[in-house]
Amino acid sequence: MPEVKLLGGLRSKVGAESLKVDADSVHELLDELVERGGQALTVLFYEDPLGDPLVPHRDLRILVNGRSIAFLSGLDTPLEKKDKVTVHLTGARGFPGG
Amino acid sequence: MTAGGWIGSVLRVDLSSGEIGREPLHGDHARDYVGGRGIAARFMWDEVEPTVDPFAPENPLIFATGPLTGTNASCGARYMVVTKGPLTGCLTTSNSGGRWGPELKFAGYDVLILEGRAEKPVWLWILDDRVELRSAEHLWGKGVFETEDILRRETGIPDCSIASIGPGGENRVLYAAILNDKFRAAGRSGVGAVMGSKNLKAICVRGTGAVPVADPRAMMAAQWEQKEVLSKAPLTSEGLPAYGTLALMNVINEHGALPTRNYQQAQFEHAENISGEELAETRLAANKACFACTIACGRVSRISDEGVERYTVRTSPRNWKHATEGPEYENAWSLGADCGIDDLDAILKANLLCNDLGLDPISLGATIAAAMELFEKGVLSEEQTGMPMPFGDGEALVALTEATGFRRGFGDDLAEGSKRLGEKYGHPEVFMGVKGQEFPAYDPRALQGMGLGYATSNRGACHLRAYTVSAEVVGEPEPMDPRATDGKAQLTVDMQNISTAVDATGLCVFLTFGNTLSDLTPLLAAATGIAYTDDDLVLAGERIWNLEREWNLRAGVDPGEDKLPRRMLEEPIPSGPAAGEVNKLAVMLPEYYRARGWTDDGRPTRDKLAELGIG
Repeated sequence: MPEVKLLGGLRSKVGAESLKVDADSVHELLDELVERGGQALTVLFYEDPLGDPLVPHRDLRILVNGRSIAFLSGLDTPLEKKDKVTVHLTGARGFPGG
Repeated sequence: MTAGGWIGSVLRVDLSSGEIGREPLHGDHARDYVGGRGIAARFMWDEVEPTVDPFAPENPLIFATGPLTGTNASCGARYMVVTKGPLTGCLTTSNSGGRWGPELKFAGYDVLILEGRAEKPVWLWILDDRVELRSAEHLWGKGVFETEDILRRETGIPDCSIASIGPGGENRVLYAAILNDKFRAAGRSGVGAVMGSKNLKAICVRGTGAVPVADPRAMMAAQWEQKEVLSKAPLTSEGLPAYGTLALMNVINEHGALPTRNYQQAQFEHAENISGEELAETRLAANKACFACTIACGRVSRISDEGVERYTVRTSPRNWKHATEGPEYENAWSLGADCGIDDLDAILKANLLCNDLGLDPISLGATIAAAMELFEKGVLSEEQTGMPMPFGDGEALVALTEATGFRRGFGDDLAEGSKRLGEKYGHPEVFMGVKGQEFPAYDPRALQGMGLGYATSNRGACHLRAYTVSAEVVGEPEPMDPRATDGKAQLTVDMQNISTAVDATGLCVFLTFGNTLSDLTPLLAAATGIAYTDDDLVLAGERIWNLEREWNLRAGVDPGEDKLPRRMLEEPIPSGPAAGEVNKLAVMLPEYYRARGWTDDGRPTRDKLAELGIG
């Protein structure tokens, strides 16, 4: 299963620093994190949690094997068993630049 | 002069003769170069022979504020120290916050120019229009912290602000810093060594005046709007206050762009141990702000009991026990990952010593990292270094930090920086930097834009001149592929011009994580009465950048120095997400020169200089 590393404030919200999730895409991975951390996470993950299609929140940053999904296939980026995923937010709930 | 923003006064002190004079600030220069870095660079252009020896009395040391320094604009705390830097031979510009810059303006001065060299150690006391030089013989040899405590008692004014040097500056460590308010630093390029060469220990300033503004009502409206934007932007409202810049440690590591063991790797297996999360969980006491700042990215930290025991040093009688400030991301990287060290206590202690001794932690850590590489490769022996110093040795880090400040033993070699260290021992390839100055904390093989920014920086390798990390990692204002070269030349030019303009205003460049130039121009207009546009500010940034470049060329800094070490160009990152990458500077540099409107070999054209009014 892909291994997910959480940074910053997401750790306390999900209750883990890293975890393995059964997911075939980034979208499914976020669903799994919401399952563990609660529905409130959807507000942090998506611009409009009720939107269709869902659009990643502008503060959400996801890397798959060190590459931003902005340069892969966004939420549809496929995941394989050996993949390493990093999830963080650019705000205090997640992380700044600076 | 205009009705506000600038005070309109320059204080000039000749340390050789003791003569103190005041002169009006040149109005046209203030308008065109805005302030701080810009005005001071113009002084250097008009008055200083570029080939001057950095330690000669003829090399001035200029402290310059901007028109928004000391106003109620958020982040209006900054001043710039400008001189010819001994580490690089370039016109150097080193920025600091805290309270010192605002106090200089409250005392009635925009700019302080120090010339000559005092015969014996002195300190300068500025209390409004009372300005005097006093003997500092009792302060010479003391650290920054004790110097500040003594001067506060001596002046009887505990809330004065003090900029001083420690033993590092006195001993002309080539990357000695000037510290103010104990923990805020004009850190890079050796401005503290120039201050030491002038036998000037400290500048103590207290002002009882205020900064006039042309339109107070408009100023109030503009600063509320600026702060409103900062309060809503995620980085400036939440990210930086909560985690400081150290939050970047894990982020950059996950991108495979964290230089490790003198740039031999680009991922540190123990990054988590020195990360923002670790600091916040185990050692963070509070955050802290500079004057008028609504972001408050500063860290107040504790060294653990165990760390205090382990890293006690001889030079700090009180040893400062647990309380300290920092570390910033750059310092935690240079003293940590770059040296292969994952002990946060060792990093905090070395960082504390850098503040007290007056050293730039980036260049210090990077120089120790280069020495550690030489030690591990058998070029340096324990006999030469005085101790074992493999990568990962926190005790060696702390001991060598102290030795460097006093130029004791092997510290004398380290005090020269990694370029000269590598050359002395026949291995110049261990120098990871540009124009004599060490790289900061981003591997340019993984982040192409940072490589171009480092190579073309006017003060030697620097992350603050063009922070392309913003686009390449953080994704602001728009994400750009960190491994692509497309668009990086224009991005670098734009960021250099904008950062230079922000520096010149007297504001902190960190506000650009929330504010745009459009938030700043109303502040400038309200303060100065001049209706600056965004384009005016970008043009001012371009003007200052070109002037600095041309001054450097005349100083003998050849465009061929716009280069990166061979390791960055030919040795691919060995592992991690960016494995196999090298920096493609040869692709980006010609595009950069074209985007600047310079000649193919990197020189500003006559037309460009004329267009910018530089002549």
